[in-house]
Formats: sequence, C-alpha cells, structure tokens
Amino acid sequence: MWTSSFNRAHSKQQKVYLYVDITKSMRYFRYSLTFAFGIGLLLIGLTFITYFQLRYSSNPFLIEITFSLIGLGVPLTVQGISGMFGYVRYSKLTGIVGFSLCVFAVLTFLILFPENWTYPNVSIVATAYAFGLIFTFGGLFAEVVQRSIESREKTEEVKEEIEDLTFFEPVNLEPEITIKDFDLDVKGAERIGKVIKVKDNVEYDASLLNRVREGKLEVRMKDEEISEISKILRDMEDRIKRD
Amino acid sequence: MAKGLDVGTMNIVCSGMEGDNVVFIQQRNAFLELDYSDLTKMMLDNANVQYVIRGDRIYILGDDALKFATVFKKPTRRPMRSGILSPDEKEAIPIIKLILEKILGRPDGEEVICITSPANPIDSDIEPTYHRKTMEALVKKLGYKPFTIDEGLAVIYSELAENSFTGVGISFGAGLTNVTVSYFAAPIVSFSIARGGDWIDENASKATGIPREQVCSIKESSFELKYEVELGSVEGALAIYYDYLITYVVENLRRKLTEVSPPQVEFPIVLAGGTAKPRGFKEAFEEKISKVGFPVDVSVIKVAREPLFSVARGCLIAAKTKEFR
Repeated sequence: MWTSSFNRAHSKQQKVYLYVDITKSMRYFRYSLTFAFGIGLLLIGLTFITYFQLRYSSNPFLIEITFSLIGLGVPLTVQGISGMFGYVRYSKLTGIVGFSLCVFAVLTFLILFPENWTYPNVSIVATAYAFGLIFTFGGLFAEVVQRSIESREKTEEVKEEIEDLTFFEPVNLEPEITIKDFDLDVKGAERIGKVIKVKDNVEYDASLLNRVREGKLEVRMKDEEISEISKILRDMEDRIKRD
Repeated sequence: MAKGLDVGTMNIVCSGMEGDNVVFIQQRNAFLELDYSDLTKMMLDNANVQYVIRGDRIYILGDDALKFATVFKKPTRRPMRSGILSPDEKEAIPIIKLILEKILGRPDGEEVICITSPANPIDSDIEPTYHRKTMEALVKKLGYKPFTIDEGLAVIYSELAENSFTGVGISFGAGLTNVTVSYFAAPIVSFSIARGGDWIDENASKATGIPREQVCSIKESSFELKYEVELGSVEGALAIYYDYLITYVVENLRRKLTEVSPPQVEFPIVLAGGTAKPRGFKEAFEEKISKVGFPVDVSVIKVAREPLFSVARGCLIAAKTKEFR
C-alpha cells in the first residue's frame, strides 16, 4: 500500500518537474540575455570612456550616450542575475522599482544635460539613480539570503521525511501466504487433545508486561538502587550511541 | 478472547482463558499413514480415533498416531522437523491445518492469537521465515488475528513477571533449543540451536541400537538425568547426550552474551520445554553454568512451573497485552 501511494505521488511529481524544467529553462534564457545585454552596454560604455577619453569638456552627445549606456548597463546586469536566480519574494518588486528609478534617472539626465545639469537637478537625478541601484542590489541580496535560509529549512524537512519513512513506517515486504483449502474432514472422536485446566494469574502478568513495555512499572526501591539503574541505563545509551 | 499457540516439532499446545482458569490443549504434532480398508476404518471408528481419509489413504492424527504406530508396526510421521515445517513431508501443511482446527476451534469474533516462532539458528542454515508465515496464514484462515514472538521470549513472559521480564528464557524443544535474553521485556539476544530432544533420541538410538520411538518413550516416562548410569543402557546414552546438549547451549549462550555486553544486572534463567522435564536437568544445567563462568550474574536457575506449557502460557500473556490495547 505504501509503495503504490508512493508511485502515484512520484508520477505526479514527475509531471510537475517537467513543467518546472521547461519554464525554468525559458526563464534562464530570457534573463541570461538580459544579463548579457547589460554587460554588453557596460562594456561599450567603458570602451567609449577609454576610447574617447571622456572629460567635462567632451562632446555632450558623447557624454550622454556613454553614461546612458553605463547607467542602463548596471541595473540590467543586476536584473539579469536576479532573473536567473528566479524571483521568489523580494527581487521582483524591488527590481522593478530599482530599474524604473535608474531608467528615470538616465532619461532625466538625457533631458537635462548639459544646459540644465545644475544643482538641484544633479542631486535629484543622482539620488534617484542611487536609490535605483540600492533597490536593485538590495533586492538581489535579500533574495540570496532568503534562498539560503529556505534551502537549509528544506534540507532539514527532507531529512526528517526520510527519517520518518525509515524509522517510523517500516515497509513490510513479506508476502502474505494464502492457504488452499484441503477439503478434509476429521472423522472420529470429538476429542481434540489432552485438556489441562489450571487456575492462573495470566491477566495480572499480561497487565504487568504492558506496564513494563510502556515504561510505567512502579518499582519501590532505595536511592542507591535508582542511581545504580540510572548508571546502567546511561551505559546502555552510550553503547547504543557507540554502535 | 486471546489465545496462545506453541507449534512445536513434537507437540502443539494451545492456551486460552475459561473464566479464571487457563486451559491448555495439547496434541502430538504427528500422524500415521495407513492404506485404506473397510476393516481399518471400522477399527478406528470403534476405537474413537481421529482420522482423515484422503484417496486410498487413512491418516491418524496426533496422540492416536503414536498409539496405533505400534499396533500397525509403522513409523509415525511428523509435519515438522528441526523446529520448522518439514520440507520432506508433502502432507505437512494439510495435517498441521487439521490439528490446528481441532485444537483451536473457530474464534469468537476477532480473536488475537500469539504464535511462537523459532529464532534464527546459529549452527544451521535453517531459515524460519517460511514456517512462520505459513503458520500465520493457517491461523488467519481459521479467522484469528495472528502475530508471532520468539519462543525464548515466550518463556520469559510466562515465568519472569516477578523479575520485570528481565532474564534468560530457554526452551528446550524437540527440534530446536530457543534462547532469548531479555531486559525489561525487550530481547537483547535471541537465537536458536539446531539441537533438541530429537537430536538426543536419534543419537541415543544410534548408540544403543534401540529404536528411536522406544528411546523417546523411555526419556519421557522414567528417565532421570544423573551421572552414575549403567554402561550400555539407554539411560546412559541419554545422559551423555543430555550433558552434551546442555554444554553446547551454555557455551553458545556465554559466547552470545560476550558479543553484546549485556547490562550489569542479575539475570535469572528459566528452563522450559519438553526436553527440560527430566529430573536432574536443572542441577546439570547449574553445574555447567558454574563450570563455564558467565559474563552476567545469574541470580537463580529454575525450571518452568509447567515446562511443556510454559511457551503457550507466554504466548497467551503476549496475546492478552494486545487485547488490552
């Protein structure tokens, strides 16, 4: 009975696994592309900085392009990593908020630079971008921590489940033997053998056995005897642990 | 109502309650096969004997088989050998089923029954699982709810209640000798030895040239285990093989106890089973124990109140505990 229910659960679990596998690989593909795109933007931006030797007096359009590439590259890379991990709790919301703030900052920078790139606009844009990055990185960090805790809990649950199956539900693999009827009838006497009747205290012995098995036997004894028995039990426990 | 059942190589004993009394029903686990004839049938009917007709054969069951074996000068056959169903006896299962039906009867509602099972032997390749499962199935077929315990543990349940079921229970049966060491009703050592009453009979018979049935009859009726015996007599041969069996059991028990390092408490030893019945058996056992030196302190060595029924009584106690639950 145990094996059949196990098989049913196992086949159901297999279907779920298949579905999970397909969606998992799709998600990996999508987010690895995001990650690669982000890295690509970052690399292009860094190449621009090096190649054009960007400084305050450089062509504003070049500055705008370069910092837009880097500005979008960083959150995209982080989003790609978060996506590959798989959003579970925090990173979806924080990721979207963070990425939106970063995009907002980059767009504002494109609008304001260079004419209106002055205080307090610079501070507002920089703060928005910084918050965007904090949300994106913070979400990723929280996700990693949460997953690590959950995976530890899951391992313990699985371990407990295995222990339960191993020690508390022993599988009885011995076959049931059915006996064919022999269609024989004993003829002759109604005697069934030698019958002996004795007055006996079987009931009392059985109740005593039950109490001993359940560890409920009341024994009157001295303190030294109790400590002696405790010592024996401790020795037994040690031996069991050693074995 | 709970029942106990001791299926031994020589005897089948059932135990049950009848008011305050315990009722033991004992039947020989043996049968005699005869050719069918009207004369034989008439003779058996007149003698009020239990028999079964199967094809052109008549099978006499239980104690009657032994009685009629001498009349018809034919050897009795046994469904069991060495404590388990005999693989050489094709009629074993039907015959045991019939004997069980006769001594157990049908249950009143859902009756629990505890059956003894031999422990794994340490000196033979006998495997008791098939025997155990077959016995369970036979009893289940009758409508009972069976479960099994080791024969040695049944002796402990029966005789060592005052010691909180701590001690050594040894059942000297015909086919096997079962040994269990228990601590507060939990077995810590359980094994069997492929020697028992049959082994003694067989070897004494070979040594003296007297038929086995006769040796067995002497052993069960007048034999007393003592070391001063007439040379060449059946009693002498029996004493030698008894001594050999006791030494063998004590040696193996000592070895097994050394392997498990038991708790340092005093262990009483109870001797049960038909083979432990002769007078002088306990003294011989005590002497061996004192010579060998035991890894545990032995508080007392005693023979069960009713050696032949001790295992069945222990089974009844075990079955009663299930009934309480």
